[in-house]
Amino acid sequence: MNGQEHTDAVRRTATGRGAAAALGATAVLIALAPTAWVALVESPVVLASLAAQLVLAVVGALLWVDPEHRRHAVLVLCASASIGLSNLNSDAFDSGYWIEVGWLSTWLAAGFLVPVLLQYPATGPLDRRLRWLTALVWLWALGLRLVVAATWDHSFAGYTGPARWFSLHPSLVANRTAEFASVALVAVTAVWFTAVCVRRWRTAAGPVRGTVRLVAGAGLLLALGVVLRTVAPYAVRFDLLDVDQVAVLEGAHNVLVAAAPLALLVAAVRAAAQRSAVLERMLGAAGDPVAVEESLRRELDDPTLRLTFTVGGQQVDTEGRPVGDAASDEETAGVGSPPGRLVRVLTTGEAGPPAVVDADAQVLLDPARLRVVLAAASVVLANTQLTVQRAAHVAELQASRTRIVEAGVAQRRALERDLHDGAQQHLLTVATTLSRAGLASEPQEVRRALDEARDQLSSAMAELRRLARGIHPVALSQGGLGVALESLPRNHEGVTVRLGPGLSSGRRLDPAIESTTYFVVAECVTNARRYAGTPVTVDADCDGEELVAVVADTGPGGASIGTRGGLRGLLDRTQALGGTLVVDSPPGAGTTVRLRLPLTSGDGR
Amino acid sequence: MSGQPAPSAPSAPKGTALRAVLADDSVIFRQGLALLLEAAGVAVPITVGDVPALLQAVQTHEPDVAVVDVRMPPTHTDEGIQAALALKRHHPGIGVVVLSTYVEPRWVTTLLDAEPTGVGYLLKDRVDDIVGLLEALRRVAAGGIALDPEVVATLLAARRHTSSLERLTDREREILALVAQGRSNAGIAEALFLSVKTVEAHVAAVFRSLDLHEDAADNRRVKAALAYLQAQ
Repeated sequence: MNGQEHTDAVRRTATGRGAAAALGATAVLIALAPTAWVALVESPVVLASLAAQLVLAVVGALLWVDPEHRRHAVLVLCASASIGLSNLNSDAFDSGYWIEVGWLSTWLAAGFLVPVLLQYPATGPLDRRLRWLTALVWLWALGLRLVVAATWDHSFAGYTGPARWFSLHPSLVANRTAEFASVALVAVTAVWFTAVCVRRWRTAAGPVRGTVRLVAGAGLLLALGVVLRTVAPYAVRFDLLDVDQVAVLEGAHNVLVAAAPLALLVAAVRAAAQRSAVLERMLGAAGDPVAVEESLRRELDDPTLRLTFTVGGQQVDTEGRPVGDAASDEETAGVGSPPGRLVRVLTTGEAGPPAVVDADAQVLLDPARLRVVLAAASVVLANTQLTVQRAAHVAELQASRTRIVEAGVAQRRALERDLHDGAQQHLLTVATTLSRAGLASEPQEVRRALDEARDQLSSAMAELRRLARGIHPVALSQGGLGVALESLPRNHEGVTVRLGPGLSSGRRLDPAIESTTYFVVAECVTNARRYAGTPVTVDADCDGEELVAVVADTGPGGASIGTRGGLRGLLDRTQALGGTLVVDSPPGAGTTVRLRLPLTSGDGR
Repeated sequence: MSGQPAPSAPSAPKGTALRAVLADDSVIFRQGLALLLEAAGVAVPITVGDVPALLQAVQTHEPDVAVVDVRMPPTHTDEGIQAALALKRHHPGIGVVVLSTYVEPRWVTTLLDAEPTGVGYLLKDRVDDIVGLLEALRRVAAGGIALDPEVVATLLAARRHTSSLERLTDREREILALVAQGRSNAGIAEALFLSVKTVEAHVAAVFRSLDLHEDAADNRRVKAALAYLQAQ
């Protein structure tokens, strides 16, 4: 995310936006003129068309506010303008070619509105079938009209007035054929379009349900109006209806065609109203990440939505628990979203934690709402940094406490097994041998068995001593950390221990620090001997402030502190005393584990 | 069992000597046990350290009884129980005694549910009572059941305060424990210095007051007694 680049882009769009808005307003105003003229001079019926034109202009202006809906806004404004143009088809403009221009633009508004009605509030390219449908609408609204106009001549109707008609190839046959084709096409497209609208109505769901239904309803009204208007003249021609009835039909057409823009207006106004309500509702959740996630789920109607934060290089959920593969989450946030999901990084200002929203891709159905909701979330997340960090800290504490307890249980289990399989087997063997002594009849046999038993008993003792040392080496309690560390080479081959002056003096430290240090170092030495197999060096020293112990081998490296396992357990024990444990283990270059423990007990422990 | 009479010398087995193979991953223990059993007159043709070797040894040496440690490689959990079940499947004729350091009634149930004849579950501590150990091996080799007194005592203790057990006399409870260990009436009589007839009467009384069906076959009455003791 490059902030500077982003701002520039916004500024550029803003300039272009102003120009386009000015252009649109001018176009609408110019196109309003013929309607107004006709309404005043000719017939009040045209008022319906004027109303539709104004409503569409307002809809266009409302849609223009959302960057996502700007294309829809342009189409709606074009529709508004073309309604104005269509009113040129009136006796009031009986000079020049005005009437022909008006006649040609009769259905242009439908051509502009159809793509909006098929999609709003979603945006982006239409799918292939709907593009075909739109193309057919345009073929009917403009393509065939051009053919009809080009083959018409005023003389066909016996007109001798001042209005002129531009014609390329006057032919009554061609004219009638094209007109018939146009009626057939309107039937096909109206049925198709109606079917699509019905389907949209029925499958509408989630937060966009109301809007989709409004728009689909507007589409149905428009289709009905267009069909009425087209069919009416033919009904007269074939004496199915008389002129009065047709007048009623045309009135109905006007109402229907005006109702479609009204439905769009309601949808646009609702969206604008909801937008301010969203921010208000989200503000109620300010400062509380859990409530923000809850609000996001509600506003976007997506119960699967997840809100995560980056704390200390790790991705945590709203309650501070680490979430799986944080690294890959961050990657997807930068690159794109997994299929079916939408992943967005929220920029929550300098004080806010970097947050990631992971939602069902369905929320894209209303991109404008998504943007508004996410922007609101960004605002209210700005002061949740501390909350999230604290939650993450508490969660980590709980997790590490659990791990320490588990490690204790595992240790006891290992101890139990050592006792059963080691010391107890030795003692049982002694019992076996003594039993045998009891069976022996020769004194010599008895003596031999007793000798055996004594040997077996001393190896049982050795086993017990080894076990005790593993639990808590006697050197540690008797001689302190320095002495205990110096005893390591006696139990592990290839280990060199170097103590600094702070430890070699036989100084005693806090028992918790001594036993943690010894345990961590001994474990690292065991690991190094097991996995690296190379000589191991232990360096340890302490001053008045802290104790530092470094265990290094020259083995294959590649060790890391995972979420579980031995090194994790050592880290937990170190952190319990407020210390740090750093593992440096590049592949092929040996492993160095550096332990630091503060001597003054931090963390109020 | 402290009240055992002193071993009246390793009673030479009737007929041919008992043949046993031993499986235990602790080398010193299995060698010690082999020496002990041999000193007591049992033939031990081979000792092994894991389950595959045990199956192979049984195939080759066809012993009367296999003595199997409960915890063996690779997981050191219940390999011995699984090995015992496998042995009984492939060689139904031989007896299998599982040796364990655990008083674990669950394993006993697993064993007896799958194999009601010729199995035993003994604590390793029994090596200090060679007479009892030999008797248990013989019983299992002959198709009987041998359960460690301590395992049975644990079960009994857990059920101590149920009303039906409280109704029994001390002697009757003692008899119930011996039945559950797998002993025959004759064996019980011998252990308690009673006549077989008295024991029979006691056993009948115990089974009546516990509402158990007294079966003539020793193994089935062991199972009935155990099932009763383990019922919750």
